[in-house]
Amino acid sequence: MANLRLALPSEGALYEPTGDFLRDCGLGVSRASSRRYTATIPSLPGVDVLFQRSSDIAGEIDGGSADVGITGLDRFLETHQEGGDSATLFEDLGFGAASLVIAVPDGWLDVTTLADLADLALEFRQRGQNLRIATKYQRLVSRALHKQGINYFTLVHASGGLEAAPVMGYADLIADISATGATLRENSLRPLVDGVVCKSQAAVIGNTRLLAADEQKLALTHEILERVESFMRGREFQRVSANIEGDSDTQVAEKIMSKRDLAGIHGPTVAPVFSDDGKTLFGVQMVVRRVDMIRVVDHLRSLGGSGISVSQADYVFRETCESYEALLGKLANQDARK
Amino acid sequence: MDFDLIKKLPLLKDYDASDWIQFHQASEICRSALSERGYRRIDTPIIERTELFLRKSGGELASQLYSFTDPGGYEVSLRPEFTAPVIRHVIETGLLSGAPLRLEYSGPVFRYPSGDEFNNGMRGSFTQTGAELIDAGGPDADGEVIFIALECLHLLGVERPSVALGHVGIIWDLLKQMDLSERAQLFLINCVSMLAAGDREIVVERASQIGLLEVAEAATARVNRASASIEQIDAVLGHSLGSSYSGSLGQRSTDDVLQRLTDKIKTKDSPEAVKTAIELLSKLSKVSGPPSDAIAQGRNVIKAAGLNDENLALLENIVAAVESAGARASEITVDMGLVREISYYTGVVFDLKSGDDQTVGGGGRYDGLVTALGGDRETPAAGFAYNMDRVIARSETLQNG
Repeated sequence: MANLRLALPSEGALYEPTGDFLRDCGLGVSRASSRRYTATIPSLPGVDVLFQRSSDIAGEIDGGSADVGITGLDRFLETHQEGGDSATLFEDLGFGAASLVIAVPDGWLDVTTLADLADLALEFRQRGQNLRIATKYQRLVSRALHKQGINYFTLVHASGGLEAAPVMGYADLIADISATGATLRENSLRPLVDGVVCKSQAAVIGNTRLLAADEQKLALTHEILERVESFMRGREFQRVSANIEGDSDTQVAEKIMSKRDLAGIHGPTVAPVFSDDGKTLFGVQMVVRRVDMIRVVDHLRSLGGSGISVSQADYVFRETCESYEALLGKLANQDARK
Repeated sequence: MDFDLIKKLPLLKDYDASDWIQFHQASEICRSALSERGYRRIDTPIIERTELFLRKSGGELASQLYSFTDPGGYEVSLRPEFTAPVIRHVIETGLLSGAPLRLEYSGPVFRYPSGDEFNNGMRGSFTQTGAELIDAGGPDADGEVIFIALECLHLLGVERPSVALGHVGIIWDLLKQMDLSERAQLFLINCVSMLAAGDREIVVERASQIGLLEVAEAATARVNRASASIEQIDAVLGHSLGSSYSGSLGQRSTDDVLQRLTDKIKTKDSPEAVKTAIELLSKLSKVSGPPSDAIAQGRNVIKAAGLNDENLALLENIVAAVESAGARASEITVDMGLVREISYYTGVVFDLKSGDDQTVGGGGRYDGLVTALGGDRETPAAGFAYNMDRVIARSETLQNG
């Protein structure tokens, strides 16, 4: 039995959102100082937090120096050992969204699609040149280009400030992560219309071999996944309560259920209100999808609803934790392969 | 200190003593049968320059290469197949004399499985055994190669082997008849297997993504297609690339960009023609069955599209040649939607199947490969190869020693 080692990004675009996200899930990280590379989660004893560069986290998980981690899905797909011990445990944490895109100089008016790029690569080849692409995502980019029949290119490895590569002259175009496209535009680069190599966001990843071998680690991972999953689902739902006048609880429930899609996941809870102003009031409670909130309020108003309030459902649980069940499935598969 | 166990790479396989005997026996069966017909065994290095496999092999294979830089600084790859190395060897050692050259080979090839295959547990390596008939063209040469490929499957103990024939030359010819740009032709030929599988919608969507189904771009609308000139386009674009342009163009000049833009507008395909071609290929690629039925059906589809069907005679002649070489008619089918993943094929292509309808090998005619790899004259050539791991799994004789 050992502590669960959780690797989190120590810098970059994912550092702050990861901390905020864990705090919102009730897993706030306590770090003694910003120069310290280890931390704890006071609400979850038994977890050692290790701060690592987000580009290194998938490698740490593969190599077994961390058990679980949070990093960009793009980083995981680019660097993890395929067919090895690491796997995604929760693919979309709802932050850190970005796309890996292929972008060309603005002035290449003739190049708008990958098909153009394929054509251009051949033209370069015939002139004895090679199309040079600066990227830190060599695996993902070369596969995507080969799939499109683009075989002649050289990948120039670069780890920072890629956007300047065409101006500095060491590459003709780039493939890099872009959240809004602003940095590309600022540097006179334009993404190809079909140039998205992969879409990414923050994800939870883990080493299935190490988790299978230690019950305590697995139990702690279970708790993390429960919190993450129910928190993510909680963001999709809101709790609505209101008072409605009526003859009976059944009659009020029927009126609300007349619009089934606005009557909560499993239908409303209706209970009498013991009021002293002579009205027969019923209190109504239901959990509704966030996107339906205003329509639900309108529906309740049309039924004479008063005192309508909406509050956030912090965590919404299903019968089981789906991501944990999926992890158990992976562990079982792993056993079967042995 | 305890050391971690070092495990085999996940995609590769160990062959134990009984595996080895099976592979050795299978290889010997092929070698002796082929040797009787004048084929000589050769072997080439497992590692070759990456360029050899990129030049003509096509996207799917290129994405599966095990590539790396060797200690001497060369960009190299483990061979994913034998044909390109065999042709390289033949050109480099001056074996081409004008007379037919018959070579055969057996050994491991390496292909890193892509997406779906990876998840289906495909391996990164298998043993390939095959033969090439170089400097011989025409239906008789095709017939020899295809017949031997079937014959060896019989000798290897595969029950009820069969061959499905397609012809990429016929499809290229149809696309040429339809007056499409080279870019559109290349796109469409790459879509044939998708169309055969019934994914017409996906093909239409991709065609529109790469602009083949657009009515006209803003610039096209205002430039006379036939006479578009750099000056006109620059005018339409508001001198955006004039000498005042200060951004980077990489290794390209403003003239390069404008020249290609002009060419692109001039050679723009009519969306109608592209749609018609997709329809035709969608129908044609689903035609398969006994040779005479399938060819008659193919003729109808082609004629209905108002195109010349005389090239289907090529396929008829090949079927006749395979039969006269000794194959049974029941072993041959025609599948007009068959195009193989390797893009150097120019004529007949074929899949070799076992009785349980699994593809255990294939091949085809690749007349352009010799010049593409630096040979100084057009040299007709065709060949076949088996995936020996699959053949052995389906051979009762070899399984039972």
